[in-house]
Amino acid sequence: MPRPDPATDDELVGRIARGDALALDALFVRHRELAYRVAYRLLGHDADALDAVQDGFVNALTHLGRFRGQSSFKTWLLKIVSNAALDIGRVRQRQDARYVGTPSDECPWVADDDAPADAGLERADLRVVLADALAKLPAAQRQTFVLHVDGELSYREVADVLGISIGTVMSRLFYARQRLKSFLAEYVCP
Amino acid sequence: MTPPDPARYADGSLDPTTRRALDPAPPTRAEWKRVSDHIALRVLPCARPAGQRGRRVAAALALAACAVFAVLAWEWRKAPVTSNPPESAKARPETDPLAEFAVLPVATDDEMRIATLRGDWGTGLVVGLHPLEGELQLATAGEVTVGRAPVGTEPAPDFDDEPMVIGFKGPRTSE
Repeated sequence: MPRPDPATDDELVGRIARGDALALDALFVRHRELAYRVAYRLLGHDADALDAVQDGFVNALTHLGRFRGQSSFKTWLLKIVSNAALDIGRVRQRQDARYVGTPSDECPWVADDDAPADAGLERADLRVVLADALAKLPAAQRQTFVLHVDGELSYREVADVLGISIGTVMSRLFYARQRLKSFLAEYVCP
Repeated sequence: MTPPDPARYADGSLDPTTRRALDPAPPTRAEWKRVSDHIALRVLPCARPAGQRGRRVAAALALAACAVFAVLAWEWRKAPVTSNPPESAKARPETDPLAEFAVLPVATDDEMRIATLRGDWGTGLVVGLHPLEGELQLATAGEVTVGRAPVGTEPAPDFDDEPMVIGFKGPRTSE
């Protein structure tokens, strides 16, 4: 397995601009998982999330003129990936095809001691529940929440990414959490 | 095993390990590779295959050629039509050079069956053309030896031997 490139993001971006394929690979490996997590939380679908990551990297690296000197590459990338994910979600409208989270009598992630292999299914169920709850949020709240919680961006960074004030970030996060708690409370097992 | 409380995700109070466990299954190495290759193709100009670059150049050249052709065709259409034929047309004989001659109807291509074709005859045997417009070369001078036939023998076609066309030219007869 190749060792991570110790160069900073800015150095890698500069090398990419000169056509360095190794620098591109290093930058991609460095940020792909975070970008994928954000995209997946926004879309709830793995293939769509991968498309968003791809579109995000391409757009982030082909519009570097707008990026330079404004923020870190990570925040720039997550901004574009999250926008790409929202675009894909709007186009594909997968909400109808996805699991509709109506609470059932049976808790979907109760552990069964006799079937330890089901642990993966529990997580998968919970992922679906989280995706369903996030999908019910307004797009602005969802993007703000995911960038902060899953994208690991600070309030300041989220504000810079979305071009809003920190107060608006905090407000959106507050309402997003309230709604999510309300949605997810239906899934709390007795 | 205690199931994670999903509401704690909303609070952001899930411990990092549990939260990581709820992350989506990562793409496979092949999926990452496909995405990475696509990004490189779009971002790095030199990563584009030479064939693709060549196709773009060829497409540009074809487009330019079409434009030139269209301009020339437009100019040609606008040019006045003269009643005088070009010199090359004048030089062309207007009468049938064969009018004075009777056509020797040897055979049409669907009436001919080549039984044997030996040596290098294939390059000289013209089939399917008017017999007097082209050259029906069955043999070159070097390949033919003319000798006196033995007295009492008659030449006869032998399809197991060289191909033979026998005919005579007489006056034109009405068909």
